[in-house]
Amino acid sequence: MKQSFSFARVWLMLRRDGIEGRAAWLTRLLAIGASLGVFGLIVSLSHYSPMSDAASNIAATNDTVETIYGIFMFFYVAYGIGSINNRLASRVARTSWLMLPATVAEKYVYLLVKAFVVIPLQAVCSVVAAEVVRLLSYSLIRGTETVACVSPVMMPFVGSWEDAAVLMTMMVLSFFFFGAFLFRRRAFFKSALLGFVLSVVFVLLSMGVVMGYFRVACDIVLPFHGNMTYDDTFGGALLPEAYTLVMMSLTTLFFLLWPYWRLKEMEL
Amino acid sequence: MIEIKDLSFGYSSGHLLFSGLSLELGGGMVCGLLGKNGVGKSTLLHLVAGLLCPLSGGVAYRGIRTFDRVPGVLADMFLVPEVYELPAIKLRDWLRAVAPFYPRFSRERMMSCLDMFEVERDCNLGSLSMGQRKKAFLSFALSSGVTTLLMDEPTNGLDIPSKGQFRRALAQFMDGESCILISTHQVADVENLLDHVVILDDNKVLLNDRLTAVSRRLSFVVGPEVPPGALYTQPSVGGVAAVVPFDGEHETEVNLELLFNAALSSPAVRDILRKEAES
Repeated sequence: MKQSFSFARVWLMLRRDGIEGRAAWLTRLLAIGASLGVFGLIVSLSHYSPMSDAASNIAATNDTVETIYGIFMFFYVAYGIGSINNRLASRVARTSWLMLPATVAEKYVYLLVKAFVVIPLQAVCSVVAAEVVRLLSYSLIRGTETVACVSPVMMPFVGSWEDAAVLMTMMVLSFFFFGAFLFRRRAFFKSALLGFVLSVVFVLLSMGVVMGYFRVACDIVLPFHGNMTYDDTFGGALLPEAYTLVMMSLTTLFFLLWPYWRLKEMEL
Repeated sequence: MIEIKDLSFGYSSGHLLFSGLSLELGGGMVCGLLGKNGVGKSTLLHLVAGLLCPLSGGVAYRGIRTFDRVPGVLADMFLVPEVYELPAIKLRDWLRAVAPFYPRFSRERMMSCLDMFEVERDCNLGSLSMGQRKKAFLSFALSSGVTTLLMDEPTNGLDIPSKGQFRRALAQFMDGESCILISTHQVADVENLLDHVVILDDNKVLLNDRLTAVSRRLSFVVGPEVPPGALYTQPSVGGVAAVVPFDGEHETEVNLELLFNAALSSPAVRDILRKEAES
């Protein structure tokens, strides 16, 4: 009766999710597409200058809209990941989840795929829908002038595409994944609050405010600001960037793996 | 099939619901799980289903620990909880989503159960009443192809005709291999189906036996007066309902409600049941 891992069952769980949640997602897609698209349209129109040419008008709006979409996508994904177990707050939902014929590993992989593939794809679809609304509306209002489409797939969630930035984003999102298993109710908000508290504590410790002897390299606290003075607490054994990347990777790994144990021990 | 050995469990460390409980249930039986409110009937079902982890002892299904939640075990066992939820989608979409997890699911049987329960085949689950949702869920449980059904108050919310339909559907589900464990207060709804009874009281098993064996130890009579040698009596329409020792000749049908009350209240009845169990 013991059975090994099956990707087919992971697919069945994703399919079940899609079938049961399809109507709600479509409603959400339309609502977000419409509201975000209208918001983007207002921004575009507010940047319009009758004194400039079409190209100048287009360039003026794109940066702002890109930032808005980027922030939206980040929060959409973070909220989606943080809320991934919200339905399990009820005993009834936990019963049907735990009784679903799949191994713990399969359920874990399903949640990972949902968190880091499905939800981001939903965010992309929402932004595409918003762009369609914005472009069509702008064309209707401004006539022959068009606005260059901001490709949502290429938009970073934060700042730039440097490796550390991507890893930082993964670490933050995996923290929300961790929080979804740590807290049973309102996990996203509790995780955000916990993250804020931990960040403040970490910054205070790093700057030596709390304990003078525990003061890590400034590059760990602010990894993107290369002009900060490097304070080598560890004797220069590691490059600060490598240390930062290793610590962030280990932290991300912990945030991703701890939920597996939690899932294994989950009871009604 | 279901082996419970020296089980101890409690929601808080100060109060144990079960202490050293042992129980074995095999195939080919419809077992009623009876007990007072709060004695742990639903908890025992959840332990058998692997939803809770025992503090000590073990719960195994065909030799596999249920808390491990192996897919093979979960696909061979179906829990009908007292309260459950169904998504607000078409029934056929819900079946597409859930049925593949149960390899022996039978669509023909599902349709047949739906027809028996008079639930529209192409209904939207969100627009059904509570009783109709229950019938749809029960239809799926009976069609899932599992060997073991665990049911917690399955007739709650069903109207009178539906209770008869439920009994008929359950009777059709039974074969020599299957095991149905029903936790219920509504003994009258399932009395004619049960062939085995487990009574829980004070964190132990008071009775775990076939009804045919019980009827060869105790007789259940109703009359205008208290019969001689009555071990337990209670008022009844027609006079007095009583439990008396079996006289060796006239076997009577087991009155589950009377048996339950007698087992809980009468030390003499408990002694007889315990002696037979030990022999």
